[in-house]
Formats: sequence, structure tokens, C-alpha cells
Amino acid sequence: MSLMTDTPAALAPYRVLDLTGEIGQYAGRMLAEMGADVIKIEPPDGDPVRALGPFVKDEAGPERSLVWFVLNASKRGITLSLEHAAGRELFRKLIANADLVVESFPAGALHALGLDYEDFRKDHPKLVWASITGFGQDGPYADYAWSDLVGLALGGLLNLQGEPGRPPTRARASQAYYHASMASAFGATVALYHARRTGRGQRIDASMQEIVTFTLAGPGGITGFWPLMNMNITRSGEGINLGFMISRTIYPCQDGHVAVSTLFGPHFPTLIDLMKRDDAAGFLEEEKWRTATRFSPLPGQWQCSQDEASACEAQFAAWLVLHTKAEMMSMAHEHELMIFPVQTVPENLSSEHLRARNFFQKIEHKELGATITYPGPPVLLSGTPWRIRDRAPMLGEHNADVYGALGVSDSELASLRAEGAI
Amino acid sequence: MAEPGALDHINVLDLSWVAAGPLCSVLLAYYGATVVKVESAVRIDVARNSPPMAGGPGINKSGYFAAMNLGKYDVCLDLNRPRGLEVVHKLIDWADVVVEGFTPGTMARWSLDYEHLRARKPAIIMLSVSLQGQTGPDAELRGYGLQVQGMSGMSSLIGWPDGPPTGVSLAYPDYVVPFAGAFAIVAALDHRDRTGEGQHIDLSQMETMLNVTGTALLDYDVNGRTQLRAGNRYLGGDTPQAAPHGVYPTKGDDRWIAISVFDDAQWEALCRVLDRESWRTNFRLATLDARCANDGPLDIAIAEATASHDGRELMEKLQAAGVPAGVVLDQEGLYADPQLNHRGHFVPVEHCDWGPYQAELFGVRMSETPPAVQRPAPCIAQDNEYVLQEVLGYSADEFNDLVADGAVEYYGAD
Repeated sequence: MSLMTDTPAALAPYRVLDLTGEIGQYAGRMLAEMGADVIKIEPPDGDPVRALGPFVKDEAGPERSLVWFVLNASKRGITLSLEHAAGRELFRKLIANADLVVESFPAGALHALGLDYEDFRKDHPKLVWASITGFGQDGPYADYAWSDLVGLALGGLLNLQGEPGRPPTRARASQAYYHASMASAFGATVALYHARRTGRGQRIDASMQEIVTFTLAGPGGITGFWPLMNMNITRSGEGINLGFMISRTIYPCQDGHVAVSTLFGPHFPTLIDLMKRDDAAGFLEEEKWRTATRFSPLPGQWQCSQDEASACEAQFAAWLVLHTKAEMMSMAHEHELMIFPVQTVPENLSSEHLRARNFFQKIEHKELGATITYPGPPVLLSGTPWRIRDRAPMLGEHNADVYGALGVSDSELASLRAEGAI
Repeated sequence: MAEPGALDHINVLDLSWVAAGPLCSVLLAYYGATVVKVESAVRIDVARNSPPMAGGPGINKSGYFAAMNLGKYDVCLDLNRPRGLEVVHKLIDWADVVVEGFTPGTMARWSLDYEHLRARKPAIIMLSVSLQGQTGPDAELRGYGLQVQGMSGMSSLIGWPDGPPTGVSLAYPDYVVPFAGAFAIVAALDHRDRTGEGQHIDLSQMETMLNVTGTALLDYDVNGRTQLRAGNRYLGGDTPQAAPHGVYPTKGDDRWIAISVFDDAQWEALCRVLDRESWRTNFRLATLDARCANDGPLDIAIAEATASHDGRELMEKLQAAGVPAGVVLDQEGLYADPQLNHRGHFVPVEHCDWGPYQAELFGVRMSETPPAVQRPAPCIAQDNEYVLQEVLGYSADEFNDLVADGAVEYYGAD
């Protein structure tokens, strides 16, 4: 993926005002890297995300937050106080030239400031307004406070994470916030597309809780266990729980762990041969295991019980500790085994495959005197490449550009700053 | 049944199977796109054999398949027959978007790779979903989302510091990457309408997932830190940034409540609701820094205090006092949840095989073009006749010929 700036961008015609907090900031980054001009609007004392660590060299500071960097790259940044009458006036002017507003204020907070979509829409019928909140704009939870953890809990995903017998555990990266952001970026793009075709904008009401339910195997892949089988599926540690069976998916090997979807895939006979080669097949040497399955048997197969499957898994586990992740990876290549290593960052950074795809990107942070390695595009587009345009904006970095384009003079800017409006 | 959707005019040919690809087109269907899923009646989509099952095994019994294919039409074709391919070519002419999820290289064997599609129809948008992308030394490795969860590092980020990597107990990447795939498709449609140009979208599940691992990569690059699972802590580097921040037991079997306390006001409210006023003056707990430094013992104390409460009542009290809190819902709990029900999340529809069931709506609502369940998930081959005759314009005789030829398939036929 090149960093050339002359490639067309799919969302180039659009300008976005981004007033989101942590829950929604990745949405603006996706829109920006697909080509939209995204202006992140922060309060004059800085967005709260700037206070979140980890920081560069573990030294806290508003221009050193790695969370701020990954959620706000490729955006422009201005400061603006909506608490301030002059700030609200500037906001109205900015909206006149915007196609989309994305915000994550608690339901009702903007109304209290006299900033209502319905009013803006009268003068600007094409405007799309996306509100991303924990639970939606109305209903019994509308006023509930949210966190990533709470979104995972009430969205039903947390129940499927971690070890049985211990409390469920979140990921060390806010997944519910990513879900909310990614789904909202998709929805906002649908609405922008509709507005360009028909001239009609609209209000988007995104609920983190409800979006998280989609990650339970889509609309009903997991929830359906309750009405269809009268069952609740829960976390199973190093395995997956399919109701009628628990299947181990993560195993230790000599130097870490590997992930397997199921032992009983098309690769099972080959696996048994490989185990034999090491004299470690044990009871699996018996011919009948070559045609065993855990699923509904196809012709020529037979269905083994949970106990039999667990015994197979134990035999496999005993063999696996003889091998390293690298050995398993080369066996995956050679024998089409569906067994891959469980990686951490340094291993992925040295992945030949990712290097061959030029995945990792070095982004310049001039003020830090450094370039920092970022994950590259989540999707590759042949005609309108996804492009990381720049590092995240510094506090008020584009005030002069953005307010200048509105016709605000330097001296007016100075007095707005003095009043605390920007 | 549905109101006009924003993508009403968009046709999608869905050649993908299992989960990640099919869910991309489910998302498009919510906003009105017409999606035709093409599958084989012989080499059965793995999803059709995946639980939950509605009343025992059977080709049309899988609730999992129904989730992956909500809102679609279903046609069975044999792509290895020339006349089956001919029908696919007609569907390509009809389609704005083609979604496929075969192992890279497979589409080329039928001359259905992007270069061939583009030669036939320059404006076509093609999404290829794969484990690790269309190019590179590992492109042709076969597998499922579960392995990507491990490879991308996501599994290493979920679990207890003293325990193994666990990940989510399902093929998690399959259910996250569709957001990125559907987003890219709609952006590409906008570009196509403005320029007449289509394009090929290469979605590597691995690369999408690496983008949702937060600061893991940057932290390693600038600080040399390898981030690993940390229970429920909300860490900045090695330092907790909120405490208590965890999941605590409540009354009942395997019942839990998630609580996140970011500031002193929330802390004081928590002490009040849990009736532990003495904690407020305890010097080891008085400030956020102090709570973060003692978060291990604090978690034990909170767990003791929550265990006697009814989870939902405690959540309501904590939320009324301004504390972010939520019960951990299981599937039964989701169906009963007042907020999801308020939003009309569950939509009654009639399945062709198992009758009435509750389909689910998408959480991004729109005032003018709301998402809708266009139709229930299809039974195998149920729309063969409709799609070929009404959509593609084959005559009844031509259709019968195609069935006799084996190009158009029915399940269980020879």
C-alpha cells in the first residue's frame, strides 16, 4: 500500500465534524482514511482521551497518548467550547459546510445547549447527524452511564469471554467501542450515500449495546441457542462451547500456544500420521479414529462422544508440546493443517506474510522526533486506497486553517481564545 | 414489509459461505439491498450444519445459518457446469456488488476473479474476504476465524494474567470484520456512482483484527511493551486507570455485574449504594491513584459486597447514582432485556422450515431509511425459480432445462 497522495479517495467529497469520545473516535478515523475531511472538535482543555495511557516512553502528556494516536490519526483538529455562546456560533457555521456530524454526548446533552439536529436540518436538509451512545437516544437505559466493559456485559459478549468458574474478562483493547465505531462508520456512510442521491439527510441513533449483540455470531447465531435449544452458551476458557459439545481450541506447544478450530476437521487423518511419525499417536493409531467426527457424520464417518473427543484432544495436546509454533506453521503449510500459532506483537511484526503485503506503516511524529509503526489498512481497496494521512492532530493544530476558512480573522481568533470559546 | 431503504437499488451477488462474507451482505440487506446467495446443494455450506439447530439435524434447521443469511434470497447452482457458470454470469450482470470468501485463487479457476469480472462489467465492486488476504506467502492457508483470533494476537489479550490466553469463545473475527467489509463496499458504491468505476476490495481478517487491538502495536514500538491479557483492568501501560473496574458476582448461579469507576464521584456513589460508607474515609481507597494501587484487594472487597445483591436491582441503583454498571447478560437475558425490547431489536418473522422466530435488527438506527429485516433467512434452493425467472428472465422451459442439466440444483436430488 503506497502513501501516494494522488490516488482517488472514496469519501473525498465529504466533510465530517467529529465530536465523539472514546466510544466513537475510531469511526471518524475510518471515514478520514477512506478520504473524508474529518475535523475532530475538542474542548479547549483537550479531549479526555488525551489523558489515557499508554504514553510515549510512558511519560504522560496530552500529545503523548497512544490511545489518542490510534483513534484520531488522519483527522484535522480544532478546539471549540460548546458551553460558550461564541463557540456555539462557530459550531453553527461549521455545520453549514459539513455533510456529517458524529457525536457521542449523553442523550439530551446537546438539546440542553440548544443544539438540535431538527433545527440544523431546516437550513441544511442534506445534513447527516450520527449519535453514538451506550444504549440509544431513548428507552429505559437512555440515561445510563457506559464504559467498554458495561457495553460488553449488556451486549451479551462478555459472557463468552474468559475462563469458566471465574468472572468473565474483557480484552485489553476496548472491543465494544470498536464495534460501536465501526458499525457507525458503516451506517453513516450509508446515510451520506443516501443524502447525495436524494438530497435528504437523517438522524442516526447508534446503540453500543445493540451493536455488540451482532458480534454474537451475527443476528441470532448465539442468541438463537435460547429459543431454539433452550440453552445458554457461556465462556469455555481455551475452547468454544457449541451447546452439545465443548471443543478445545487453544493448546500449549513448546514455546507458546496454537489455535485450532477443531481437531476433527479434514486434517484429522493427516494429524494422526504426523503424531505417529513422532511415536505419539497412542490409542489414535487404531484405524477407526481416522473417520471420527464430532459433528453430524457424513457417509463413512462416525460421531464420537464428548469423552472420546476429550481423550483425542489430550492425546493431541501431549504431542503438541513436542513442537514449536514455527514447526506447526510449516506443518500448516505443508499438510493443510488448520492449526496456527497464537501470536503477540513482536511475532506479527516479523511475519514474512505481513511484510510481503507491506502491512505495517511508519507514521511520522515530527514533534517527537520519531516515526511510529501503525497497523496498516483494515481493508485494501484497489481503486480508492485506504490511506493513513497523518498522525493524530495536536491540540488546536488546525484552528487557524479551519476558522480562517470560515472568514474568522487572526484578531478575532485571538479574542475567541481569550474568552475561552476555542 | 419494510420501509424504503437507502440501498434499495443495490443488488448483491453473494458467493461466500460460512460467516464473515455472508455477514457483510446481511449488513447491506438491513438497509434494503437485494441479496442473492448462491450456494451448492452438494458441497453444503458448513454453516448449515452448525448449531443452534431448530429441532434436530436437517439441511434447513440451523439457526446459525439463518443468522448468517438473514434477509437473502437463496439459489443453488453447480459452478462446475458450463450452464451453471452461465447463470452466474447473468447474476454478475444484474449485480452491483459481488461478495466471495473462497480460499484465494479459487475464483480464478472459474474465471470469476476480479480481472474477469471487470472485463465483463467495469463498474462491478467485488469484495473478497479471506483469512490473510489475497496475496502473500500465507494467503492460501485454510482455516477459520478462530485461528485468526489467535494469530492476530486477540486471544493473547483476553483472559487472566495467571491463566492461558482464552479469546472469545467463538470465531470472533468472523463477526467483527463484516463492519469493515460493509463500510468499504458502501464507500466504493459512492465512488462508483460519481466516477463509473468499480474496484476490488481485499479484506484480510488478520489485518482487520490487527486494527482493533488498540495500542498493542504502537506500545511495543515506542515502549517495548508486549501487551498481554490483564483480566478486567483498564490499563494505561502497566497502570490501572480506573478502579474498581471489574466483573463481580451477584445472587444466583454464574450471575455477574460489570462495574467501572473512573472518578471520585462515582466511587462515592458506589460506596453509598453498597452501604460501605467506611470505605470513603479509608486512606487506601480515598483517591483514584490509591484505589488503582490497591485494585487487587479492592476487587475482593467489592465482590464480597455485591454477592448478596440481585444483579439487575444493583445495576439499576448504581446507574441511578451515576455509576457505569451493567449485568452480564446471557442469551436468555438478551431476549428479556428492557432496552433491547424498547428498541424493537427482536423482529418476529416466519421461517420456511421452523415457523415463527425472532430475527434481530441492527443497532444503527436511521430516521429516514431505518434498517429492517427484509425477509427471513432462506431455506436451501427456495428461490431458484423466482431468481432465474423473475429476476434474470429465463423462461419456464429454459429453467426446467437448467434443472435437468444439473446447473440449477435442488438439495437431495441426484
